[in-house]
Amino acid sequence: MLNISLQKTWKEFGLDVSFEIPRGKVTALFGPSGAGKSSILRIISGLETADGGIILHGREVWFDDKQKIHLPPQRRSIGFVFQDFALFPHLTVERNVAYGIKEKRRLNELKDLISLVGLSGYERYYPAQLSGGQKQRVALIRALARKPDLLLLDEPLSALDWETRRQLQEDLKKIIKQFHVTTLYVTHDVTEVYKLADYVVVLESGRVVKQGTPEEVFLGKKLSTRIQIVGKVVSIESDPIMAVVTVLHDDQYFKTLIDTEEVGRLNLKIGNDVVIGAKSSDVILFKVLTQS
Amino acid sequence: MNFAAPLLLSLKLSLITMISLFIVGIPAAYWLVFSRVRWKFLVESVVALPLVLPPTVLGFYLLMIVGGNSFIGRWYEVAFNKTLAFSFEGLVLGSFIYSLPFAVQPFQTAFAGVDRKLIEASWSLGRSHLYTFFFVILPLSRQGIITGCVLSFAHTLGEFGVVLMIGGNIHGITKVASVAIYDEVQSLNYGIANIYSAILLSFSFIILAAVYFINRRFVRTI
Repeated sequence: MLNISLQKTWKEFGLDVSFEIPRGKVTALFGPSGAGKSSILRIISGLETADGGIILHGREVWFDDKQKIHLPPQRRSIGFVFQDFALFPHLTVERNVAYGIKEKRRLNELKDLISLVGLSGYERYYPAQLSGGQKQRVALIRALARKPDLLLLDEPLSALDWETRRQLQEDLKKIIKQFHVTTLYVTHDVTEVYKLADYVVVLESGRVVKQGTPEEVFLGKKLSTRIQIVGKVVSIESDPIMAVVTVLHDDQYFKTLIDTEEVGRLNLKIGNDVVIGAKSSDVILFKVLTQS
Repeated sequence: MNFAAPLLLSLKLSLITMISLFIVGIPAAYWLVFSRVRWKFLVESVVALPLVLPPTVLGFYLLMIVGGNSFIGRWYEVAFNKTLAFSFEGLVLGSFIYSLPFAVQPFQTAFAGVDRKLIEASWSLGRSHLYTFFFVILPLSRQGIITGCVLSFAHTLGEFGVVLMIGGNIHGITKVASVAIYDEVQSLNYGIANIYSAILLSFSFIILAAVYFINRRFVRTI
């Protein structure tokens, strides 16, 4: 468990937040750009200092302005994944991943680590020879290789195209699960929050405005639906009474019928992130015949 | 041998100056780039002074500082039983200061050009400032370091004023190639002066061509 309480003032912006990051879970730090998400991440990592507050990692004090404690990043057990990857351009994939490993005997785990992110065979490639998605995988496994207590991800997928992003979301989820690492994930994408996060802290202009599970935060209530699909609205065809809303989830389209009045009430627009839920008690599942 | 002596002395002086500038210039440039002290600009100005000062001014003050009447000069005389002025060691000191900006500035530019994110990534991976310097900053500054070394070498090879002021014209000890040329012209030995000059000219050209070649190749591989 990480307890965080921070204040920092810049010329035209102030940060004043306090929240908790539950152990072993993925917490999303969600908010529009300029809300202070990345600054919080940098302060937690020790790359920047807050004016006041406290950061407790279990019993370990990482930062406390009153006790004048500020551990440098080297002494916080963190893994940081930067938005633009920040891979060392002069080192191969293998040496990038090995960079944070201090115990010599652990170097034989390199092969497994690299294969875990599906990059076997790329050990001797340089970052410039990799695609954006591959770079991000290297950055992720490099951060995890030293087995940090806290994984910090700063909009790790925002520099990638939509298709790569979608695939990496799945992989990210799998890999983070495998390492059981407490994770703080900065994003401004609702879909990513739903996909990856157990807990979400919503930030607006330097303040925490909501926190809870994604459902509690984004829907204001716990849904008791059988099926939930999060996606983006791609079309709204309305007539005076009913409207057909098409939602894209991964590469699947879902159509749903709602009151036209409801479209107006929700101010629903193309591009909005929405949840489609079905309350029916008899959801049917078919096994596809061609699979064994 | 008499003919080659000034050339060999020039080479020796340039080599020693280059090595000392590398050893001192690297930490100095690091400090200039990464330190946050306010008076940094003052140090930067001092380092850059040799770029704008006439060599004679520099030579004059150096002579005052290292001469037999100064504290340093007397200390040196007592410690090593010889004078710093008009000696090879004095030449090294003068060349060191005179070529300082030619080494430090390229180093500085190179260090400052290393992406800040990479340095932070190294810290976040638990690596110290020193480790980060040797394994991230230094390798990524390779081109600037080579440039700084070669330029300080070439600049020392070509210096005249400071060397003459501080070292004088003692054959085999302080008479470097550039001074020898002046000497030969004064004695109307245009033939020998011409040979010295031609050698210095071609040598300097080759060195500069090498620097530009390395830089060009570097730009291409990015």
